[in-house]
Amino acid sequence: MIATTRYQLALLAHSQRYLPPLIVFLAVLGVLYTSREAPVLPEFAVSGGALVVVTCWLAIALADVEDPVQRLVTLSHTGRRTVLLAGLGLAILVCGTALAGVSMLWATLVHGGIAATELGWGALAHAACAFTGLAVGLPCSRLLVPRAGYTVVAALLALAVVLVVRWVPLVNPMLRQLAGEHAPAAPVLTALAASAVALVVSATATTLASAR
Amino acid sequence: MRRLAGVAKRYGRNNYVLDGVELTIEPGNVVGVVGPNGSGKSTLLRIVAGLARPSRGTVTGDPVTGYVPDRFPGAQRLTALAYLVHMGRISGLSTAQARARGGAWLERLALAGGPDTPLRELSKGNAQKVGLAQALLAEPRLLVLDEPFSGLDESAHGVLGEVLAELSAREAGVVFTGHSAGRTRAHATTTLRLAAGSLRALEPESDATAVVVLTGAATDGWQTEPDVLSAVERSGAVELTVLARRCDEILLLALRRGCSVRHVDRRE
Repeated sequence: MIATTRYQLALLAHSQRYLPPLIVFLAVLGVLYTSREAPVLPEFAVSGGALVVVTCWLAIALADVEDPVQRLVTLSHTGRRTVLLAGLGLAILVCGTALAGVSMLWATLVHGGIAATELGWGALAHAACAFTGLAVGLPCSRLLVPRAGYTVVAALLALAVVLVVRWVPLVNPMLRQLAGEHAPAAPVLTALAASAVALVVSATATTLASAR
Repeated sequence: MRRLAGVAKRYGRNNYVLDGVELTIEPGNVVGVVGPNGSGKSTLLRIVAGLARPSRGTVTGDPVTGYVPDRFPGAQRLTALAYLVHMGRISGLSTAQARARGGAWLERLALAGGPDTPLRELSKGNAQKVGLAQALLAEPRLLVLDEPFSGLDESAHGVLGEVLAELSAREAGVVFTGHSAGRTRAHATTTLRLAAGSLRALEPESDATAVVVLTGAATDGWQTEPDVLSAVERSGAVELTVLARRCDEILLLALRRGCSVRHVDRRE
């Protein structure tokens, strides 16, 4: 699994397809973190929302690097489709962790230090956002959707639903609570659990559906 | 080591590509499968390699398997050797082992441009060599090759022939497909024909060969012709060994190419 993740990270690095989402994410952070006095949790809500989009984008970009025949060759080495997909997912989560780290480091520098509890809730909120972005990206990617145009439409619709619709219990309730400066514990933990479940369901469904 | 029983495959609600396939691969077997384009050879090989599930029937046995697709895409910027190291590690080799074995295979297959050429810069034939090397890295007990002779150049054909013989000698199983019955038969211990979705033994009468001697021709154009088993240059003339049932077509082709027919010997 580690070898598969390493291979996927190498593919992503060599393809340079990480650049557009990385630039978008950095641009969002550049606009977001300007005021030393601004409350930090609402800022984490924006950064987390951006991370949902960017991890979804990265998952789709990485799944597109190998064409179906090449992926079949990789599958002959991993032996099991689960390992192949887990390696890809783990590679995206590594990227998501790095991006969340950049966001929180940036916030710390701008604010001249952040309370450890706020950093902790921020980290968990970002983890929930990365899980959700990956859960949306996997089934919208070339693993299941053969044409790039349909992938874009499906991913944009799914992201809009997850981020904007209040009744989808993934990250929307958490982001709204963080933005309103409410107590973060309950919404963050709920979102973390829900998005982890969503990721497992999405990855399992993608694995089963791609084994035709 | 691997056995397909009553295997059928269809995609979606289309007709069955394969239906009632029975195939047993024993250690040391080299199974050649011939069939026209679209007969389901690639689908069969993916099932044999364990990369696709049959719609019906059972596949048993789980040997370490190498798979070579008919066209190795290799569109990435990774170098050939870096790619092989990644694949070796995924198969459970250490980095040093994967690097040593990958380098040795690329050298033996004479990869043009050397091991540090990016995959996307390789020609079709050279990409196919990387495709072959990745399948051999983990010393497979079963090697599955889709049309291995069509993409490789003549010198690599020689190496591939040796590799198949070596695998068979160390009791590994091999399954490969080909267009030409003659060439497939030359490398296989068992040759089968895939027709109407199922496998049959290849008719024995197609074994008979004929020798055609031509002047005013070069050997290189002939070796890639289907059913030309060999082309040897001898004192200014070219001696072709061809399948007897294709002899007339090959004579016609030779005349069209402006060659002169010196001698024909049918050994039927």
